[in-house]
Amino acid sequence: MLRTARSLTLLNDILVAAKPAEITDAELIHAIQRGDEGALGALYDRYGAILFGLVVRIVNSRPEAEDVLQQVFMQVWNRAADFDETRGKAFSWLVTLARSRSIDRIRSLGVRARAVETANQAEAKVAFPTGEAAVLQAERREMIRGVLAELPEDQREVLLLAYFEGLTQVEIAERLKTPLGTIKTRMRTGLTKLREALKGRNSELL
Amino acid sequence: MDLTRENHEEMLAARALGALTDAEASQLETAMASDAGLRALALEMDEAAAMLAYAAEPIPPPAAIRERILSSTRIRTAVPRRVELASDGTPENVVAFPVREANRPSAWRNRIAAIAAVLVIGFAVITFIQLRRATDAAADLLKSNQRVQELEREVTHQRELRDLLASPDSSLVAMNGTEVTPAANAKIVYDRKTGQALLVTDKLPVAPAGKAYQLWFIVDGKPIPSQVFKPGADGRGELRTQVPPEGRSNAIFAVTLEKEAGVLAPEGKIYLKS
Repeated sequence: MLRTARSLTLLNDILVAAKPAEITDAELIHAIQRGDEGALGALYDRYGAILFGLVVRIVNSRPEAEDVLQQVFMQVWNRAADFDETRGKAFSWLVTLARSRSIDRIRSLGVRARAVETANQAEAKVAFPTGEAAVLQAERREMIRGVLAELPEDQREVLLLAYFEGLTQVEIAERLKTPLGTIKTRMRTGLTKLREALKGRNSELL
Repeated sequence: MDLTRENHEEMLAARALGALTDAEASQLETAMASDAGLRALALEMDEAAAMLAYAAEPIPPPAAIRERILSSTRIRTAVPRRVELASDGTPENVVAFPVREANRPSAWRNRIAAIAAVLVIGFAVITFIQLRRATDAAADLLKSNQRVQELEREVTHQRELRDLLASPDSSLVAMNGTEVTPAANAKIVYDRKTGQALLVTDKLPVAPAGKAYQLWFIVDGKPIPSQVFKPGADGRGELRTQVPPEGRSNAIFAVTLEKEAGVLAPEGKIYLKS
């Protein structure tokens, strides 16, 4: 009971200091470092759907994804002190944790069919969000999908295979029956274009 | 762009997407350690790759997961929150669920058991002390009761003696020791109307085993037996008795040493006489 009260106090301090939309991800993680459960809940509310969608996309199983998502946020709770703003944004840290956990899971299960066609379904659907943060996420989602749509098919395919399938460059080359050097070039070129496009459209993203 | 730079960019892109082998990743980390430009580019690549998460369709997770996560954090509040890293630097893949925490033998259970043991021992000690005190108190009470009874008897005796001496019908007769016990003496006071009498002796020898002193009323030369008594080690003795009507006016009193149960006619020597 005391812990909960303290959490509410800490979160309240943040809310008083800034409007909800102004509370950054890093501020939430710093609050989590201080043991603020409310901040963990807020971070979950902000990114739970995105991360759950990402995990479901990778493990291709809702029950497995639920377990992985719980592990991810428990890892955030336990290792919030590891987060270093100078080494990347909080969102990147969360995504990295979720991807790592998800890929570990599919490798341990060894049952997922790594179909190329499923990777190409990434830009198919639209988001659900409500609220200011969700609207911002929807904008980013549309932006990313727009950038991906502008990429050549072979480059987009390589990026998505690596990202959602967890394949190495060698595995992608084998999967696509394409020379490894070509895969490396496509991957570098595709991600560089994505980086440049995002820089041009919204400097806050990168 | 030189080949090395291009090669590094390829590796940075693959690294950001998690597509490097362990050997490649190690090789790249070595290059990044001495190249700030590579580190800055790696950061940008990582951020760009992270944005690919938006390419997946967002799915609201079941509400129960949020509650499970927050419940786990509450349970883990009292334990260190840092998790150990595996030998390869990656985090442990074990997340403790509430039920697992609940199944662990915890320190507070041991503390409760210790407290319970102390309470039981304390209760036993207190009970023992109280029982002992109660026993001592009972013994003291018994002694006190005995003392009270003795005092009551003494008070009664003194009252009877006072009443007997104060009675206008009382008579006091002195008795002297015979040749057997010249130092012995006694007094007998009695009420001539009621016959109530009290014999007090002094310096009588302790009666031998199986023997006791017996009081006699001698009326017209005929001994009338009374009761037997045993004086204490100090030679003092008392006997409450009743003087028969025929002996209340002119009786002679005598004390002999007889059988312990008393006799109907004197058999032993006379120790005291009036």
